[in-house]
Amino acid sequence: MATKNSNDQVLLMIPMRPDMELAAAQLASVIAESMRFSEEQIEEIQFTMIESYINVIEHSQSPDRRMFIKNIIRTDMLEKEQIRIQTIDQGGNLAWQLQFPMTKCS
Amino acid sequence: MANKLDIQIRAERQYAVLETAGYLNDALGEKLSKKALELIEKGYTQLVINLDKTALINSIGISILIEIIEALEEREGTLNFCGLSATQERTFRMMAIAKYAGIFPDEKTAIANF
Amino acid sequence: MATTISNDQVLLTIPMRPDMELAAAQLASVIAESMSFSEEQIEEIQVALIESCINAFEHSQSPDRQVIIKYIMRTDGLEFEISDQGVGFSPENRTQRRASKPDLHPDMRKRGWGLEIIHALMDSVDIMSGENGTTISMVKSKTV
Repeated sequence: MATKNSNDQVLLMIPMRPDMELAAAQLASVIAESMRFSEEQIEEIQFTMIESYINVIEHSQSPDRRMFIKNIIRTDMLEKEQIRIQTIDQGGNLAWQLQFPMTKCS
Repeated sequence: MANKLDIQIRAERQYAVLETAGYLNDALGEKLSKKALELIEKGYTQLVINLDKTALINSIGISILIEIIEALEEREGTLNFCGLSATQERTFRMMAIAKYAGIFPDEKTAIANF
Repeated sequence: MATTISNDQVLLTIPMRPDMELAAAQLASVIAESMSFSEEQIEEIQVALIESCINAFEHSQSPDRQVIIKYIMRTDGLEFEISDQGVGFSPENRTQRRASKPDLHPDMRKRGWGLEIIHALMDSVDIMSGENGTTISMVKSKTV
């Protein structure tokens, strides 16, 4: 897994602990809001973050209960108006990936 | 927390209230400053800034609030704040804002104290 | 950059872009809430973190334009390490992003409050700065 992120990415690494899925969802929400995603899309993104976290917890082989959520967020708004979320487990395996195209808020 | 940036203006004969919503950073601060300066140009010298819907302010946002205080002082006007959280009020007092502007718990009291 | 974290840590890397300081602060808010900090303490943490990030955004001149924030959940409180790989603190690199008119009142100056705000809101603050960057370490204790 590449660890150096570029200037349009946010990288979050969270442990498997209670409420950490909410922390990840909140982070994604603020970033999506700053990118002017619609309220409905922000809710979808939050839901996705929580589900991706649960998915990794359920299926992860991580021996030390650690997980990476690698948020590849804020891809260049002019080029690719979208948000992409990748969830990568401790072993460096891509566990979840979703892309949301942006719909401009009025 | 939703961060819907917004400024509502309620202009009466003697005074005007500017109510902010969202994170008061340079972006919202600039919008607020523009609206406040427009009101001052129109002759308003008694302004209230209601921060009840602004949960977070950064130091750049506060610097813009100080510019509004200074602009009003040049017209011998008064700025009263209301709706501050305990942390915001503490920060405003530390930065001597409380010395040059009023701080009140709610809009009604802020208006009554011009 | 470290690629591993322990079970009591969260690691966030943000680009120096608008609103990213708010993202870091909101993440802190959720973590602090899960640790049962009071609402007032959470706001203090958020403001201190915002000011730390803005400080790095404005003054670090970091070539990678990134800030790394480590959130450490301790039994007695929440610790933050905010790091950049910039030029370090010095009066010479304290350029202001936003030009403003000269201060009317010296005691109500418009800029340069960031570190004072951080010191006022957190229980301990330690700043390490050198030619390879700056790290602000700060702690909010659960009981003050």
